[in-house]
Amino acid sequence: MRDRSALISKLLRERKSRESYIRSKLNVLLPSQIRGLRLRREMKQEELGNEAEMKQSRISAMERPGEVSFNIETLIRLAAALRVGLRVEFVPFSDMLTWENGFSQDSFSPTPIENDADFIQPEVARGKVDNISANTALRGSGAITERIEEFRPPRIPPTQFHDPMLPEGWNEAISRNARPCAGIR
Amino acid sequence: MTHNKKVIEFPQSKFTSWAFEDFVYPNRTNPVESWCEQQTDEVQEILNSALKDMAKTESHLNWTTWRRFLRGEARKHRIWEMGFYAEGRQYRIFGVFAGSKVVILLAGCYHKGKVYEPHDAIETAIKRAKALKEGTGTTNARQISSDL
Repeated sequence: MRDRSALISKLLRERKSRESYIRSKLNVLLPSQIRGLRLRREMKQEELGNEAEMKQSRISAMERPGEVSFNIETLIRLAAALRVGLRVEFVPFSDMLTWENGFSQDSFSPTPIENDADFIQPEVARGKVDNISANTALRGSGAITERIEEFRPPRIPPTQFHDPMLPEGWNEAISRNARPCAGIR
Repeated sequence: MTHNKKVIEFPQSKFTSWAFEDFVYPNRTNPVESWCEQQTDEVQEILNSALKDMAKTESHLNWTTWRRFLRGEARKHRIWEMGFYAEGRQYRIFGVFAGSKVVILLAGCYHKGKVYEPHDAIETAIKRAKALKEGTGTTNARQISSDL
């Protein structure tokens, strides 16, 4: 077995060792998260690929440790396709280790946006549901979906736009949210 | 007539994490550990992290490192391979399942194209699987460091 104190002194001494250490953790935990989430959403690699506008073969490679060098844009596309957020954060090494030790693909289940009461209706999540997390209370009951369907952006009353430099008729047209003359810029 | 179907629910078995063991010769030398020690820090770290992740994932088919059961002679011994990529190389570890949620690691190697290094890694894994069956080989629990 590897000697921990030797590794620690190496990590303290060499930047390259720290890079290797961080890379090895991420190279295992990122694929595991992607695979875990995809399976939880009952998606095939091809379906996730379509959603994220990537090839199935790329999704497959991203689910294998070390196979892909992830960039932030790729992770953003995957997160959006899987309907979850993404947090990239610099942390102490101890936090990274705690994250790794506590991570399990089987129980990894971030709430998708449509069920995320804390995000959609924070006031409900904060206090109106007694003793139960709003997410738990609303999830599965269809309440969130109903609330989304109920939600309509508030109507903003039209404001009178006026720019004295514009030609005649344009101000009225902009106020009506219409183009006065297509083709003129 | 499906509405009259009687559904028998089996109790869900509680998942206990996977345990990993190394193949060990009767003279107590551990070739798997020796192979690991020859690898770079990054390869050792990724292997440790991968085993940690595998230990907590109930179905081996969901392991991100899972590749396939080998074919040919190795198939008779139900030898499979897991793999990962590090430092420009594809690494492979051969193993077998033993009992409930126990994995025995037989041999490790890396490969580029279709060439394994060591080139006889699969044959070695087969020999070790045979040795386990015949009782001329034994195993040693692999410690997966949670503090590394």
